[in-house]
Amino acid sequence: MLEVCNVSVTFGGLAALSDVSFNVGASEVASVIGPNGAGKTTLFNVITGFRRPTRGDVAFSGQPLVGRIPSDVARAGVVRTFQKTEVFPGLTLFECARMGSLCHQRFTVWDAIARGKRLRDFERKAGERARELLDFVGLGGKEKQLAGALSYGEQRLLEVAVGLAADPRLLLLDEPASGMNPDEAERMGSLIAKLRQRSISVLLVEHNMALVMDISDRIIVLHHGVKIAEGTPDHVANDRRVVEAYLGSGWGDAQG
Amino acid sequence: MASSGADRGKARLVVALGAAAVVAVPLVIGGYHLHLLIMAAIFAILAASLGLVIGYAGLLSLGHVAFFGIGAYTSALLFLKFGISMWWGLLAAAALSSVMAFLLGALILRVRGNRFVIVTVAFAEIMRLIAHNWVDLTRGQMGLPGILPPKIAFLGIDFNDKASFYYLVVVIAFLCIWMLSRIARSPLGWGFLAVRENETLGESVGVSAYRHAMAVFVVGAFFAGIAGSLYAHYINFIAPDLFYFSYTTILLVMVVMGGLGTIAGPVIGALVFTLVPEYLRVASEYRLVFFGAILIVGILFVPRGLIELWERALRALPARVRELMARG
Amino acid sequence: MLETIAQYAFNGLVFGANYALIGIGLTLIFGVMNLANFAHGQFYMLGGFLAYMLVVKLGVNYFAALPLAVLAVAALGWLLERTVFIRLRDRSPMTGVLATIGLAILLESGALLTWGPQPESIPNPLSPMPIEIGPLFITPMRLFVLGVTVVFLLGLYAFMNHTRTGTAMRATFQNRDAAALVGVDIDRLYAVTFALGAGLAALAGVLLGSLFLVHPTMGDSATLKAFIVVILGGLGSVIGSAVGGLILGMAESFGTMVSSAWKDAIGFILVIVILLYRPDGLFRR
Repeated sequence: MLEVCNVSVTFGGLAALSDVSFNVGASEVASVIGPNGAGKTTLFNVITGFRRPTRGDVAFSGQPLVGRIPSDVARAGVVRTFQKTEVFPGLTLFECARMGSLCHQRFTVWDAIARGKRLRDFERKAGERARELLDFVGLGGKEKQLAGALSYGEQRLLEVAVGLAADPRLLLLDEPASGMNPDEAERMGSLIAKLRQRSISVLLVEHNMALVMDISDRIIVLHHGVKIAEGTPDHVANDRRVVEAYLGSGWGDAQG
Repeated sequence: MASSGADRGKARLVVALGAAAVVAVPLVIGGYHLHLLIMAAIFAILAASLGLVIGYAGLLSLGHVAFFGIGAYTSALLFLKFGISMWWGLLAAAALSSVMAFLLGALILRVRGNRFVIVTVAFAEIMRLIAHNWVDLTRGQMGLPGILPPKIAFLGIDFNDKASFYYLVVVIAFLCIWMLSRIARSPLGWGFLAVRENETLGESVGVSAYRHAMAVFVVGAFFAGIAGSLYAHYINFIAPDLFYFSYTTILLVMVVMGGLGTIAGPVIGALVFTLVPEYLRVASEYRLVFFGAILIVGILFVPRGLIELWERALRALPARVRELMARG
Repeated sequence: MLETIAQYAFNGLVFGANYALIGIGLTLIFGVMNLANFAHGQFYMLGGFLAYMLVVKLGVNYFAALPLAVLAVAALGWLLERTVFIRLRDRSPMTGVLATIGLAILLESGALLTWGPQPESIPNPLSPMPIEIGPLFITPMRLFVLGVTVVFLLGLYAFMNHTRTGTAMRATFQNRDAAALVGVDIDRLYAVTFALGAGLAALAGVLLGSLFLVHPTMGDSATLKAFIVVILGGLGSVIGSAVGGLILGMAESFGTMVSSAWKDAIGFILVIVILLYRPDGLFRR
């Protein structure tokens, strides 16, 4: 479904990504791992339209994504979360969770004033869906709380609900379990596993190795912007170059 | 949000009494008091439209008076040069203000934030310079006199009469504010909130920040244009001072102190800050000092404005009084 | 003809150097505190008026009044940062801007009440007779003004590059969080920045006020010009503001050759051109 072809990004002479290619299939959970500074977040930015690659192509279901703005990429079915937690802090959970519904329907000013059937139906469905998604991520019953007042772990769960509201076919999660305690991380893991049942593919960047090994179908390893390995969790864990890359860069620190 | 039948009955009674009061006003008061109410209604449209832009979308537009002025000049010039009445002038004013907002937006709304704020001020200044220097069209500093209110000939109504103009402006203000609140709470309005709260996250889930920022900016200008047209035909005279930054400041006090993120707040703000300085007999030269001080003190201590003051006042009341009030 | 052009260029230089002072003050406050200061022109106005008060009402020597007025406005800036803006630091950037707007209108209308609407001139002891320098006829005061601004601009450059505070300012421009991490005292830095910015505006106010007149409403257009300068140069670039100031000064000076009524529009036209072709300004960070 997602095809990343020979993507390179250079910042002022420094290569953040060089010639990276891989695919993500339907209902697949793929993970991108690598030491800090390996180019994982840059890769996400390229896929979701936040950054143009210097070279290379990204396509989703055959549609090219390069050169489109993020909201356009989301409309094509590719939605991301952020490494640094991003919510709508002044809105209620309910308002946050229904925002993504706007992805696939547009309303004009005239629609808003006339309040026709399409708009009213949309509002009802978006509301139902927001409640359902909040339940799904385990935040049911907190609809009226402000997002900014949630705990850190809850905000990370909310981010998933906000992303899912846009009805993506591929969800990119940037370190969803970072800063979480083991219980919370496990909850996040089972949440990601459940996405597969909704036939949503997942591309995951994560430092929590237990989580990655547990839920990934396939792992892509980046090191200094170069893809050095790709395969099943078992295959990658035994790859000599991967082990070297991690040992060489103080993997223990990165796991933090 | 479940409301009992009694509550609903009470709400209906309040609305009915309010409407009756609004209708009865010109029978009871006249002259200067009526003039103030008309000005308050015009400002209510202007403040509510700016409230949508600032309070909902978080875009600090400091050029809103420019759209008010464009509306006023459009309507005035159509009347004076071509004898086109306010009915069409109002629509033309709204349309031209919107078009100007679209053009300006196309230039600056791709990147929002501080640069947007600064350029909106500059835009208002450019408009003032044009009104001031294009003497052949606008008569410059001398201004444009003789902009008459409309008539409805076959009913024999001439809005030159203050009471009639009051009814006209109340109806139009009500319609405008009603439309603005509908836009604010529609799905389009959710998109405005995304721009205010976190445009990056909004983008990532498919809410185009540019599209929504543009929509709110153009809508705001549309209603500011209407307010400008009403103003020109009510006062009968306009001059380049319309574009002064001091009007922007007063408008900001109304919007911010009324309550950001609501439509009712700026409307109440417009009423309060038009009427209160008059009735407190604040001499006009002290008025701007008063507004400046209110803006600073308000931002520091009551960031949610009059709504917050009201809530605090209620909380400060003794429990007994609150109980009595709740019983009505 | 050549003489005329040289004369206009010199005038443009005098204005431009002062616009650069105002613009740099604004850009420092903007770059360090992420605050668009709409009261900046009012500091400029206050500088001019305080100098006028000191010279005319208190009989202070002009050359003593100049630094006194500048220091007084800098102190006011420091005080305002400590009392008002420090409380808004963690709130949205919009609240800070709104507070500066409130401050601008408060200072301007306060000045109107105190000093009345009539323009005043700041008397100075220098001879009003122009001296001939090559093709130019220049009054000693203009030379003095140009000299002071150039000295200050060079001094600022040295300050930014060779002092601890200046380095901390530049670091904060680049990355606020990192600057705090490496031990920059943010509280002190903000107060110093605001005082410095206000002081630079006040200096320009005294200098231009000595060449022309001071009046309570001169702040509004100064604020606008400062913002034009800053947008031309790129938001938050000190060198950009210096160059932006000179460009605006020159453009306005030569603009009066064409039409004095539209002179004030030149800056805006420059801004529109910049926004269309180089949205981040001439010197993007």
